[in-house]
Amino acid sequence: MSALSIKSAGNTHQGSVREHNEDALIVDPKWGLYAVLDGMGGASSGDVAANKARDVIHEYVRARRSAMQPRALLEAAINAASAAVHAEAQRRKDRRGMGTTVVACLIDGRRATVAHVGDSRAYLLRDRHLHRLTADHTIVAELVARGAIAPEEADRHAYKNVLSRNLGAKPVAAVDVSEVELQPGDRLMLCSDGLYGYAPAEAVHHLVASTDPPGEIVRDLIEAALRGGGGDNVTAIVIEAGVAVVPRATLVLRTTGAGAWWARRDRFLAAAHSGALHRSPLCALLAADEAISLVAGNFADAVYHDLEKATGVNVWTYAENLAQGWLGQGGAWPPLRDLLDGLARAADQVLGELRREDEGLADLVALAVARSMVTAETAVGGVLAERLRSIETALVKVEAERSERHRASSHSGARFVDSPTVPYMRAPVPIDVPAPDVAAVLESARRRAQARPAAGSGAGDRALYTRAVDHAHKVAQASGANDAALAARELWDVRTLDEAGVTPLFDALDHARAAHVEGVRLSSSPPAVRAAALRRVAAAYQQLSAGIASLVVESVAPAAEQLREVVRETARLRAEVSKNEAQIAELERALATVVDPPETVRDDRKPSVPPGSRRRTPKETLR
Amino acid sequence: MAARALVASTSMSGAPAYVAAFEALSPAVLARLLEVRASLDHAFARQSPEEAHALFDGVMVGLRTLLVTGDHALHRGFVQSFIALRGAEGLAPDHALRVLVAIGDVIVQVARRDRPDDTTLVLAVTSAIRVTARLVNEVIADDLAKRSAQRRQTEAWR
Repeated sequence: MSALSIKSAGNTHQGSVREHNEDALIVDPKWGLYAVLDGMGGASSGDVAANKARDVIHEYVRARRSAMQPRALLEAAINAASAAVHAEAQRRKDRRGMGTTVVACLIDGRRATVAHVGDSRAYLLRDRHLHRLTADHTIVAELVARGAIAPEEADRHAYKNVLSRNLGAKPVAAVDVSEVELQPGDRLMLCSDGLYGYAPAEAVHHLVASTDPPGEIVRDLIEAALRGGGGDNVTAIVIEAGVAVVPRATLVLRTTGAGAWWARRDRFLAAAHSGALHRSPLCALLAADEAISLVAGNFADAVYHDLEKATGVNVWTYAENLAQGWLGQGGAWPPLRDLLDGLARAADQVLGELRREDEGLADLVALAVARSMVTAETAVGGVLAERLRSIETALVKVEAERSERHRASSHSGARFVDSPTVPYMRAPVPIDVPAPDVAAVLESARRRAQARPAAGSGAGDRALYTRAVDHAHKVAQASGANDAALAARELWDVRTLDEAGVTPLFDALDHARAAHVEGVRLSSSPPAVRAAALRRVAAAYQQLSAGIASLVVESVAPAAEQLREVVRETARLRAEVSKNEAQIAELERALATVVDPPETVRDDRKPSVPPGSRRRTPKETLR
Repeated sequence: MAARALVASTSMSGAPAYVAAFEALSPAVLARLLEVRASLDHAFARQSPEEAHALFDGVMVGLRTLLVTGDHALHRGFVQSFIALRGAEGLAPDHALRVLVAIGDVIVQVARRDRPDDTTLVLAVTSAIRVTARLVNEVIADDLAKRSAQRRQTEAWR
């Protein structure tokens, strides 16, 4: 059911006799709250009671509008006001006995909830008939209700103005509450006894039923009371229920649920606020109200416009902007996801309330909101995927640049790619310096090895051999893995063995090791010292060989990658060849069927192939 | 076409009533999906009816399993394989998401046509599509987080 447009006006006048106006009123279309209060008590306490109760009721409703049902909310607000007035009266002697009447109305969609205590009244004008919605809480009215006196005696009764209930007499008041389902054209009037006690009933009826706007009706009602004597403060509020506020045809709005959603926009915002949506990291730079208004308000508006126009473009734009803004500044997905969940939860809360009122309408709106959430997810998915594509493109570019560097270096003739390798990344090993006698044996072994001729005949072989002995000697003296790695790299860098590969280097190492070991053996030192020197020399050559081997692996890595690529390409080509062969075979079979159709009757007398000729094979036919 | 190997939910105790309605609606939905497959995605236009039927049937089974079990973790498995298979066909994950949402729209359309009074079924299907869309986004977001970390690492190396 769609909401109604509400127009309202209210005013109060102290009357022709009273020196003070002890009436108060609330006209708050934003929260749908209207009230008339008529204070009582000597020494100006009446206006204190009325104003106090007015403020408490107003604040109570504003604070809990989204959390409570209208009926319970209004009753609780009036009781809170009664407690506040009672407490104030107890606190000060000069205010003892003060109190106030109240008639309040809370409008939620089409439903008007009316609550009252005392003799302030509410009327409903429908189809030009004025119906009284409240029963006065006076001694006389209760006597009439019990049948103790006749209704016609009431106006003449001595206690006709004595209240049986009011706000402030006790902390808790007995509140009467009723509900009315408003229809377009209905008017509600709330008033104090200063109106109905002095303005003629016919005049009140005539004015409320007029076509004048609420403001003029209120003005005329008060004037009528003043003309009737104006013996009391006069207060009146007129509330007019018009046609639906939403701008599209009622039928469309009913079908899509747009009106129902729009009518609950404030409730949705309140639910979003109570769900702490404003604490989302996406709202970090915004004040709470601003965050709710921007994030939840814009979502509510987008859902409404999409429902109204049966599109999804508004929610899509909303979600896309939200995601682009957040992810664009480097935000992560979880906060965005949580924000969407928060919006969904707030919507669920509103839908739960709507379901209690109208299940069919709630289903309609729930479906529309669920569809909006799907749209939002789809839009966010697009932004996420776009960012993924952008990062993948950047990664591919980086990888391409790296491959290009490798390719360029492998074609430039450089023998070594100077990039970090495992030996450089090893933790340093403590240097184990040999004892002096062992060092002396190592030094004599180096000299003997250097004096020995190399196995190869070329100058390059000799240079490699000499360097191998020198580097092994250094490593044997230091016994550090880092030194071995550095020595291996130096040996690798000086090799001049393009045609022969790495074999001459390993040959040189082998010969140097043999000569070096022989040099240690020839030493005249004690066996223990020679053994220690031998262990150092052997370990040095082992470390040098391992270091060079790792450099070999590193240098062939790009070639290995190219080889793997070649293997993949070969496999692909093989598959293509197989496929083409299968197609050729298929064609051959087809051709064979055409050239040589199956014979249904075998005739031995007439050979299918002419004598002396030979049937062509399918391959020959293809050629 | 291979028959579905799953146990009919109607034989399972505790399955919501709309699951049976969903199953009853499935043949009509599949027929409609085949009719409009080119408008769901132009890639489907190139597929044979058998291939397209198998694809749509897979989605229907995935959605039905979600309706029966309500198990999001299980459904994420379906979503991941759907994205991977579409990825192998050259479809980006957000494209796969749009296809899933479009399939959901067709189911809702057929449900409204054939069971106009069954709001519960339409609501259930829409909710299932919403869950599916969320899971697709979770998968994309996971991938995005991994790639972002990889990029940061690469930048550090450079």
